[in-house]
Amino acid sequence: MEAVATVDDLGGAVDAEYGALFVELTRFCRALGAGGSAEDIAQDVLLEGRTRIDQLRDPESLRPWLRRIAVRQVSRLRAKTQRSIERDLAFLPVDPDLGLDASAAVARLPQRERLAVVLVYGLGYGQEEAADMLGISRGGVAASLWQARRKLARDLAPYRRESE
Amino acid sequence: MNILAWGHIPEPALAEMSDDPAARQQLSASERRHLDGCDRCLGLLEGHRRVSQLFAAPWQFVTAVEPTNDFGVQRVRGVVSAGGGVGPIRLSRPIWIVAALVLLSALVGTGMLVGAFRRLDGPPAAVDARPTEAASPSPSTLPSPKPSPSRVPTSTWSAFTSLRHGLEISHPTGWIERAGRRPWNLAINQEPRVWNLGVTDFSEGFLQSADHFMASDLSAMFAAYGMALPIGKTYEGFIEAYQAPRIATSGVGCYPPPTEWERITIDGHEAGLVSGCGYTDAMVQAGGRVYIFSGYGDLATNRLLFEAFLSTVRLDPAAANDTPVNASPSPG
Repeated sequence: MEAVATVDDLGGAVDAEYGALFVELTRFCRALGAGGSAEDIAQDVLLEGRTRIDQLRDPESLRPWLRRIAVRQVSRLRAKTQRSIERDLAFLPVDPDLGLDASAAVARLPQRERLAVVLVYGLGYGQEEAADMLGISRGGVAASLWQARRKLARDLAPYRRESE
Repeated sequence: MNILAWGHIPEPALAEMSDDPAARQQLSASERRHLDGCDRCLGLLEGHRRVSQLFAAPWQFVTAVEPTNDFGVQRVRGVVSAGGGVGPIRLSRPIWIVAALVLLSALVGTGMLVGAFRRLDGPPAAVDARPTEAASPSPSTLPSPKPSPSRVPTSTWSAFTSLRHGLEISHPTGWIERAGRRPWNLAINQEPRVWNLGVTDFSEGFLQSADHFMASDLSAMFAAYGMALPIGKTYEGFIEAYQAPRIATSGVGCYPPPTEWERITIDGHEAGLVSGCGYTDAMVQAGGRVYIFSGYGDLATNRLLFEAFLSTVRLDPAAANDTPVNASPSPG
């Protein structure tokens, strides 16, 4: 008979790994654009996860489940505060040959496209995993990535004239 | 299929061509003619190529663009890299969160929070090859002038061959490696665009010309660069020209004269080593070239690690390439 993790087991797992989870989630939230609120959100995510631990069936999926909560909380924060990217800590690809403008263009993408780009290109998650975290289909992620790519290509097209 | 059906080459086809130059060869003659004369298509093609280049670049945490200052200098400040730590950790609402978690723990019969919180003190290690000894003493107290034998093991380091500057060097595995793409020169630090990748300020020209290696958390950088000794200029004259703008900016206290430099050897050549304000430099002349090795960030003070880098250097002045190139590669 397959062993089923109890709520106590899962809650204990969160408690036991609190430190490591906090560090991982703080970094994750910063990458998503939580800026200086990353640590607060990481704590909130752990608290929410701990409170709703009975909804988690598979102990293996603890981290993806917490990341999903984190994505939702960061999205909510950014929608609420409308924070200016010019003042935020942003997780961006940095290539001195392309210059700052190219990097900043990623931060200016619309929310869903930016999150898809950060999750897939910045953090290296697969499209399926990103879809799970964003609560959309894999096709939705692919579409967001393509839209992001199109917008960035238009932003970066003027480089051609500069380099000629 | 005629991809010119709507008057232009569709964007997905342009995106594909940007990633795979061979796809361009598969265009028909009419499509190629259209592409060559179509500003929109060429612009988008280049745009998509830039996007691919951008997504392949290392991702870093960057505080945004600060406004351009009075000197027209635009600054970028990188804080930590994707693979690095998360920086200083602060429990912003400790009492509230501890109370809530203790309550929850009590409810489910677990009580492991104390140990868990203790672990918060240690952010993940990010620099892969730090020496295990205690932090190195300040340069002025170091008695040993010789860079070898190194006390930091380098056998597992990654080798790097510089086709630009004519040298071989190894760096800790996992460090970000960037090869210089254009010749370095004495005026390159005066170029206006300045970057700060978490270590110190660098001109964009310096980052494009120096071979440099950065710890994954951007706490340290080692750079290797140099140039052919200009005709009619002595090594001493070169050093003077190298130091003059720096002394003008930071004062002679930050750039001691060569008479005060420590004598070391690099790949069998007599060299000088100097530590100043936020940097350590080693300079050596070989085969009509001057090589400069600079450590920034933690490498400005971590003598053992700096020495370890120098111990792996092999100079090959004949292999250096001083041909100027366009820093921006041409479209595929």
